Amino acid sequence: MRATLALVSVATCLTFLAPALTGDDDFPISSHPMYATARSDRAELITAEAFDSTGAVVPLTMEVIAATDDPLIAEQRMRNAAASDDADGTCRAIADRAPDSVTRIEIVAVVYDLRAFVSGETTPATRQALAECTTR
Amino acid sequence: MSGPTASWIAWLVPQRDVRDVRLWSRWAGAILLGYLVVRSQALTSRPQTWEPVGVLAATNGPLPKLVLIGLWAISMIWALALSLRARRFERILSPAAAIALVVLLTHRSSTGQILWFDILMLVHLVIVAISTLSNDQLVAGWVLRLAGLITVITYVLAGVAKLRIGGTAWVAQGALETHIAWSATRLEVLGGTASPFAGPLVELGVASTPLALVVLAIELGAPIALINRRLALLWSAAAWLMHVGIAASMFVVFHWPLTGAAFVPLVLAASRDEWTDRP
Repeated sequence: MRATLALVSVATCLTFLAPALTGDDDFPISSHPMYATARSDRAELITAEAFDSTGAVVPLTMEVIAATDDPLIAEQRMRNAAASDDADGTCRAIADRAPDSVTRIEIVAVVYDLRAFVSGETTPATRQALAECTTR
Repeated sequence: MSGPTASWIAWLVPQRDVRDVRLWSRWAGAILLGYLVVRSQALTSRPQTWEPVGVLAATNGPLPKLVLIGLWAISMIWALALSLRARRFERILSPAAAIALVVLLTHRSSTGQILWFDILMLVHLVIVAISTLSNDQLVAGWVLRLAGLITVITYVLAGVAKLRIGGTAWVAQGALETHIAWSATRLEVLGGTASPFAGPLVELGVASTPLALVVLAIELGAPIALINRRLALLWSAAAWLMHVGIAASMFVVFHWPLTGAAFVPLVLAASRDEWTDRP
């Protein structure tokens, strides 16, 4: 029995080690590439901006923007919406979740200088509107 | 059988107290229970986008909500049985719970973003499920050693990926700082709240090359935890502190290592008389 169990261990370890050579990223056999890139200082994010009837910005929570509290999922969900040309549908879904004071939503692609952002410079380097919708 | 092969087999399948595995199972069950409660909505919701991975790779769309709730419920009852040491329920439910967790967590990672922090937990829980089927001391030792090996492999892979993808720039060009700044920016822009430590850390530049080297040393140095119990404890403490740092600076919580569940088998697999180096 001992030799059989040892063989199972060796086979299991080799299976999980394989992505070190192949670089494959699957689930649960993964190369674990989290935070592995030498990321640029500038980055693009897709998000939603909300406005009330006077045109003032209304802050939205992550739950309203992407129906999740996980930033990794929220980022991917918004990126997928833009990539699949579904910014309009995403805009309407966010409008349904938005607080009553919101009258207009914009889905935007914003580029930030990351180091400047954490130092307080929160104006994006570029901002492109992808979709716009009204709440009701 | 004798010689090096026998030694390796004895190391891979050591004889250990069954109570050690039970201790880890109980711990793992409690953490799983908390995870399933906190993530209940995400785990039982049908996603808008579908990019299937793993065992669900051949599927055309998300699973029906009722199926997801069923898988979640089986996992919950099993987690409860584990944490309360309800041995009979544990054993009966283990095979179904292992399958349920594989499908449920694969489903959650099939929405366009693989959730790497779920992987070690899932593999460990499948190993826990196998452990409940036996009271043999050899199986106990095998389970703990295999789980410890998977922990080590996970960290080594993460280190290798940084060198393969980021290269030397990951260490030399302040990639860690940029990741902290990226996490903070992403949180703020997507409606969350960034860590108050992110700004000062990036501005002061304390998260540059030395910290990147420490991270790489912890990840690539994980195999030292297999040498003896003292080194297993030492490495586990270093890895745990790294996760505390990640949680504090980036608000990214790796629940399995932060609760210690990832490291317990590594420590318990080492023999109690391996506190000192082997002669």
